[in-house]
Formats: sequence, C-alpha cells, structure tokens
Amino acid sequence: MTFRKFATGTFAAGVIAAALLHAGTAAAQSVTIVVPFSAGGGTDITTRSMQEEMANSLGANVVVKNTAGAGGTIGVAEAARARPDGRTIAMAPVGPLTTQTHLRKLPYSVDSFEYICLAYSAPTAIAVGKDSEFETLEDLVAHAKENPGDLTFAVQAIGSIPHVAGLALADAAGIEMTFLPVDGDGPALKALLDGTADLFIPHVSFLSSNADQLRSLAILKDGRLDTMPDEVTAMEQGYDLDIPIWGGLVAPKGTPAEQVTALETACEAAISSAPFQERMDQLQQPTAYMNGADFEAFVKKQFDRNRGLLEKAGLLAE
Amino acid sequence: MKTHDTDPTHPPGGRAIAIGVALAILALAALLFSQTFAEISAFARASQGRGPFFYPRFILAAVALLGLLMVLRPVPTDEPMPSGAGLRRATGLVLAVAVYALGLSLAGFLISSLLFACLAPLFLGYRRLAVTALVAAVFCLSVWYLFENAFLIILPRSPWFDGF
Amino acid sequence: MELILGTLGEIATPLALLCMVAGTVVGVLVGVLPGLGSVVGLTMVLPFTFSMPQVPALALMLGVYCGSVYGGSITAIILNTPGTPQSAATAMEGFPMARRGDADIAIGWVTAASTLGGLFSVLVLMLAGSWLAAFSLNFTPIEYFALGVFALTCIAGVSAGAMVPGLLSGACGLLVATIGADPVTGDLRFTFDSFELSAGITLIPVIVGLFAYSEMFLRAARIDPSAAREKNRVGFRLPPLKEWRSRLGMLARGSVIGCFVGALPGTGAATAAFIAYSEARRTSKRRDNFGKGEPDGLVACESANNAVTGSALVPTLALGVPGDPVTAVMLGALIIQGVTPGPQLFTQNIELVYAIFALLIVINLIMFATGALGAPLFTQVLRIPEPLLIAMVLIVSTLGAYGVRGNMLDVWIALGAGVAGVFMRLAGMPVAPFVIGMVLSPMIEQSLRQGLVLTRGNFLAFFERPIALVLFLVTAGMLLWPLFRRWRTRG
Repeated sequence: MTFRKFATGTFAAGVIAAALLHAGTAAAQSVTIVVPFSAGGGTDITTRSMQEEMANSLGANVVVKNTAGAGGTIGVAEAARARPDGRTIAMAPVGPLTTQTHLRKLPYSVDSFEYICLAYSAPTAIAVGKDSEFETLEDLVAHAKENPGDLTFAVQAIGSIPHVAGLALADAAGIEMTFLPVDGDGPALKALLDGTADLFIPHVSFLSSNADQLRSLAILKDGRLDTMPDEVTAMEQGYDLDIPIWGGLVAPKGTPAEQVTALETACEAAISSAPFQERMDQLQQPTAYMNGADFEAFVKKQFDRNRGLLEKAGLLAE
Repeated sequence: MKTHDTDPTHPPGGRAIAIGVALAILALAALLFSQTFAEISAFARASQGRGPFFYPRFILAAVALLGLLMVLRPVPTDEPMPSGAGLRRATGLVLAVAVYALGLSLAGFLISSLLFACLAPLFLGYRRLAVTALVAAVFCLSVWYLFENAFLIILPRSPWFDGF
Repeated sequence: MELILGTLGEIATPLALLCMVAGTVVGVLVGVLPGLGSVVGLTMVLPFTFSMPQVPALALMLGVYCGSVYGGSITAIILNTPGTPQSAATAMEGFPMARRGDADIAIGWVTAASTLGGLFSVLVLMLAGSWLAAFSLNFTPIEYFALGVFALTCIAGVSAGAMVPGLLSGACGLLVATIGADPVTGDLRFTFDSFELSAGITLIPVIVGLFAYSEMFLRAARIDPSAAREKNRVGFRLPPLKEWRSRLGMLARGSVIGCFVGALPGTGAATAAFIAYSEARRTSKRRDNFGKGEPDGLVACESANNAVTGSALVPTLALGVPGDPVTAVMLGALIIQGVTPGPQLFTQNIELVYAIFALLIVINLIMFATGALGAPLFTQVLRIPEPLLIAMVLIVSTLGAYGVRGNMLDVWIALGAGVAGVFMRLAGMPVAPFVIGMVLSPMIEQSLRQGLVLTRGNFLAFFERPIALVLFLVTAGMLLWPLFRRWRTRG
C-alpha cells in the first residue's frame, strides 16, 4: 500500500468517526415505530405522516420500520416482544389486535401492550364497480337471494376486517356469497374491474382515491360521513353494520408510564398538527384521536365484538 | 477465449455429492409430505379452492420424481471439488458467519462486524494486519452510517453502549 | 410529440433535475447492495416527496425506481451476487464474462441494454398505455395461472445441459415458497409451530444465501495465496456497434417481453427477465455459448427488466392497481400528491402523464451516465484482495438479508440457503431455477385456487378461456420443441 492510499484512508476514517459521534447521539434517542404492513399502504402513509411532528414533540428521531407478513401479526408481535424502554412501539391496526388474535395462536394478546393512542379510525364501505348493475344495497341483496352463491366477494386477506364485514353482511342480509381471497386492496380493485368479483369492502379513503372506478352502495357507519355527506349508510338501508378500520400506537407491556405519557403527548400533537390534518384531508381520510386509556377500553370492546362476528361465521380457532 | 470454468487440476467429481443432495431433498420432501396431513381450519374445509395442501402435494410429487431421477442418473459437474485446505477454509468460513450472526444478536452490529472484518481475512490467509484493521474500521463504520442514517434501517445494538 | 417537448421544458427546473439525478444515484446504490432493493430505496425517499410539488416528487421516485432495477445487475456481474431479484438472470451471463476479465464490457452491454429497454418501454407507454391497461383486464386468475405455467418453462430453458438437476432445483423453489400462511385460506403450512415462519420464507434472504453466501464460501475454498492475481480490466467499455447489429433482435424481443409482463399486475421484473433470458437461450444463434458469458443473454434480460419499469406504471396509473410492492409505494406517494389513478388520468390529467414520459426519458439517460461514470469505481472492487473482499461482501449481504424485514431469522435463512447453495453447485444443480420457482410459486398457486373458486371447482373450464388456452398450447409447444428438433436432426 502506498502512503497516499494510507493517508486517504485515515482521513476518510476520521471524517466518518466525526460524523458518527454526531449521528450516534441522535440515533441513541431514536424511536422506532413498527408498521406491520408494507410501505405505501394506508397504515404506512398515516404513520409516516405523523413521523415528523412526533419527532419534534419527543425531541428524538422517529424511524418507521415496515415489518409485513402473516396479516400484520409478525410486526405487532415484534413490538410486543421488544425491550419495554419506549424506543420500539407499533402502529397496531384493528386486524392483528382484534381479529387475528381469535383465529390462531399468537405470541401476544390484547393484554401484551401499553396503549398510547388511537391514531386513525375510518369506516369501511361496500363497493362495486362504477358500471355495476347494482345501484343500491337492496339490488345486491335481492340478486343474492335469487341466485345463492352467485355473487363473488373479493377478500383482501382472510380474517381481516373487510372479511369480517363481508361475513357480517351475509349474516345480516341472510345471503350466500362466494369469497375470493385476493392480496390486498389493489388486487381487489383489479378483480372488480376485470369482472372476477362483484363487490368488496374497502376503507373509505381507498374509495375516494379511486372514485373514478368505484361506487359505494353503503357506508358501514352509524351516521353519514362528513367527508362524503351524499353517501348512504347501511343503517339507512336497514342493516345494522358499523365496521371501522382503525389503528393506534402501542408499546410493549412494562414500558415506564412517563415514556408512555410522552409518546401519548407526541401522538396527540402529531394528529392535531396542521400538516397531518392537511394530508388526511387530501386523502379524504377522516381523522380520529383517543388517549391511551380510552383506546385501551375501545380495543377491548372491539375485541369482544369481533369475536362474536367470527364465532357466528364459524371461523374461531377451537 | 480462455475460461476458468474447468480447472484441470481439480477433476470433475461430485457424483457422491449429487446423490447425497438428491437424497437430502427426498428426505425433506418426505418430511413435508407427512405434514400435509395436518388438521386444516374450518374455513379451509368450506372453501371451494381446495385445501391448503392441494397445491403443495403436486409440487411434492414433482420433487419426489425429479429427486429419484437425480439419484439414478447424477450429472457430472464442472465445479471443482474443494479438498484439503480449501475445504477447511470453506467450512471455517461458514462457521465464522454463523458466529457472526449470533454476534449480531448478542453484541450488536458494530462490534461483531469489526471483529468479523478483522478476523475473517486473517483466517483466509491475508497477513497484512494493518491494512485489514484499517479497511475493517472504515468499511464497518461507513456501512453502519449508511444504514442507520440514510436507509433508516436500525441495526442490532449491543446491550453495553448507547447507540451501537 | 410537441406536447412532450413542451413538457421537457417544464421538467427542466433545477429542483426536478436535482431530484432525477439524486434519485437515480440513490437507486443505483441500493440496487448494487445485495438484499436492499427498489422498495428500500423508495421508502427512504418517500418522506421527502411529501412536501414537494408533483413533478419533482415523481422525478425522485422514478429515478430511484429505474436506478435500482439497473444497479442490481452491476453486483450480479462483478460478484455473481444479484443485488436485486430482478437481476438474478443477469448473473448467469454477466459473471462468466467478468471471470474471463471482461467486466467492463459486460457492464457496457448491461448499461446500454437497460437504457434502451427503458426507453422502449416509455415509447410503448406513450403509444399504447391505455390499450395495455385495457388488455391487462383480460387477465383473470385463470389467465394468470396459464401465464405462470408458461413461465415455468423458463426453468427448463435455463437448465439446458443439466435438465434433471435444474428442474429439481426449480421444484424445490416452488416448494419452499409454500412454507407459511396459505394465500387462500390463511392456514399455516410447514411451519413446524414456529410463529416466525408463519410469514413464510421470503425471496431476498434466499437469493442472498444462494448467490452471495455460496459464492463467497466457494471462493474461500479456491483462494490460492501463491497465485498472481488475475488481471481484470476495470472501467467502462461500450461494445462496438458491429457487435450490436446482430443483437438488435434480442433487444427488441427482450423489451417487448418486459413491456407485456410488466403491464400485468402481480408479475414483475424478475419474471420478465427470466422469460426473456430463456427465450433468448432458445432462439439465439449463439445458444451454445450461453452460460459461458454470451452477451445475447445479457441484452435480453436487461432490456426486459428495465422495460418493466415503464410498463408497470400502466396498471398503476390507469387502473389504480399497483403490480408489486414497488409500484404500491409509488402509488401511495402519488395519491398523497393528489393524483387520482384511473382511466380518466389519461384524458383529464394528460400533462401529468406526459411529465412522467418526459421524466422517464431523461432518467434513463441519467442512468446511462451514472453507469458509465460509476463503473470504473464499481469494477475497482475486483482489485481488492480476495480475503478482504470476501469479508466485506459477507457483511453487506448479511445486512441485506437482515434489512428487508429487520429480522434475524432472515439472516439464518440466508445462511442456510448459502450452505444449501454450496452443495447444490457442487452437485451440479443450477441455483437460478430455484429463484424462478420461488418467484412464480405464489402466483401459480393463488391463481390456480382463485380460478377453482371462480369455476366452482371445475378445472376443465380453464381451457374454455381463449387467452389461457393459447398460453397452454404455447407451453406445450415449448416443451415439445426440443424433442422435435432432436428428431429432425437425427432424421
């Protein structure tokens, strides 16, 4: 090795070491939010929209980490088993918390967490293609009653909330449908467009971002939605269906109370911040917030209710 | 055009390895086949698309058939067989990577990578210690910096220091 | 055309240009590093796009996207370690070329073919975007199944000379991909009660193991301290024009395959590259050179995987259906930017569509420059003493396997695949078919079982669909063709 190379190397090492000293202190205080779904989806975008404001409020780096797999249970389990020091938390959505927990044995339960805040909640809607023959929920039910099993319902994931909602619809209307498992919202939309499926149940913001190609038959909520006041609800058409998709931040059980409180404050600050509200507005996604205690009570109520829905459909693990 | 594909000093062998690999695959296929009788969920029983083991059984049948063919007629390979010192180096390196992976969980990325980057070249017969140490330090630190700060992938940490 | 020239002026703002260059460079970098790929690159730049205007945000994302698909090929050539799954096919011809000292020319072929394939796909996107989107709606699960079965013939295509081991390798890939949750019922299979395995064995750690680890382990066995180091040319060299002339057909065919496969959501660049490669191997006049560093193979698979970049945007933009995790991230960012995907995009928001065309054209040129300027740097890797290089590649690969999901299990899977890869190579089993099997298996299984749901369990109904029937017949023809050829040469 020549001296010049040696000198260059040493210089480079020095520069990097200096950068490290600087970065090391920042990284030491970083908080990782595990998102149990892949990047680009609704949960991911919502979390990333909160990232900056939360970092400001906490005075620490906030890193989003996507750990997708097995219906979101892998990522939520990762957070449940993390060191309870407030540095690893998860954006835990409704599915992994309150439906997957009934379907199979998981290394966590609703009691494995300290609840920080509810970060989003929005209703789902029964959607058909823009040129579908069905104009109202009644048309759809009438067709299904005449031709049992003829309607094909695209399911984004087995045991997910849209699946549960579909089962609840079939139960409430007394109809039979064929369930076609696909791989998320995009493929479900594709199935509608190419005529493979007749309906599916997306989140309302998916509905509005694909407004050109989809029509809502019924919003699954107890009242009309502020962002879409013209869309009728299922309740108005005589079906008692109120099925939201939600998610919130949770920390592993045993995280010190002061850390949880700091995260709760950061979460509230992020959600009430103007940039966050603006972005959700752009996505036509209604915003929601609950503090840790309310969120915990809410999760446990949803947990029991979804158990009931799954039990009726015969999907419960014995 | 000269190629290094066939090295005359290493005769093409590997018949025994080919049969061994095929047998190992057959054993694995048998193990997985025994698993296809596991109980399936109520939903799977009710589904039109056949159960979860419908498709894997076709694949297992193909694996079994091809595995048998390979046992009966292994094809000679031109990959030179490692032997003597080469074999020792390769095995040692596999173990070293296993220890390194274990080290990642126990001692974090920076410490275990520095050790690996210093010791692995030494084990492979590179004796210029100063160069190795310098390269190891610069390389590990820059990779660490790149992942943690640019890619925002937080690497495993040691329990002893704050941050790495 | 005038509209596009006008748009070119519009995108030539300093911020947009900066975004294109930065995006492409970042993309090439994440592509080069084994394990990290397009998705890591895109999620890395995603937060920056939030606060940007539409055009620069698109410039950044498209730059990362195109750059990362190209970057993976460089590592495939230099180290026999595809940086991304998309360039697994590239290693089969690129690495033998590098081994005989022609790394600079191999990178030249790949860079030029990538750029031309990318530009071709922009052309297709411009002329036939809405047609392709409508066409892709003819593909229901039944057609996907037929396409998947057709793509399986690639396994035979790349296994010429070692048919049984190659097919076995492919079948093992198909099998390994079934571990984890069943895509249709969600039932767990072959997980042996391990919770971590319920997410299945993912592709990236397996590729890192089969290619990077096993290559390094075998290199360690072959190190000869007394031998003089092989002379490897470093730098970047474009192949002469006369070499190109006979390969224009390969280039065109690769690009068409890439465009077609890319326009179907849920297939992807890796599939396209393998189909193009095995098609080239079947039809090339120089087919006997395949596997020994034949540029035909490089041109075919590189034009194909880069042609996917443009055409994968077709279903993403015109239908709102992203074809893979990569376009899903891009779609997410676009929706935040206020873009409503759908057929109306091409009529009501035509400026945006033209901006995308213009951006893609410029980005493909920037990619060429990045390759030409970066190659001398990347090829320097070949001069690093072997023991140091092995240690460094092992560290980066380990991180690549870890980084996909931030999961230590993936490191162990990679190590297992690495040891398996060593034995497979020693046994004369090619590793590329294993990757093809793993890529295709989920698509084949899911479409087969969805198809059975739709036909209420009647498999014969699969043959009543014209496109599917044609694909089945072509598949049968491909399988019978070598037999026919042998019969004819004998007779």
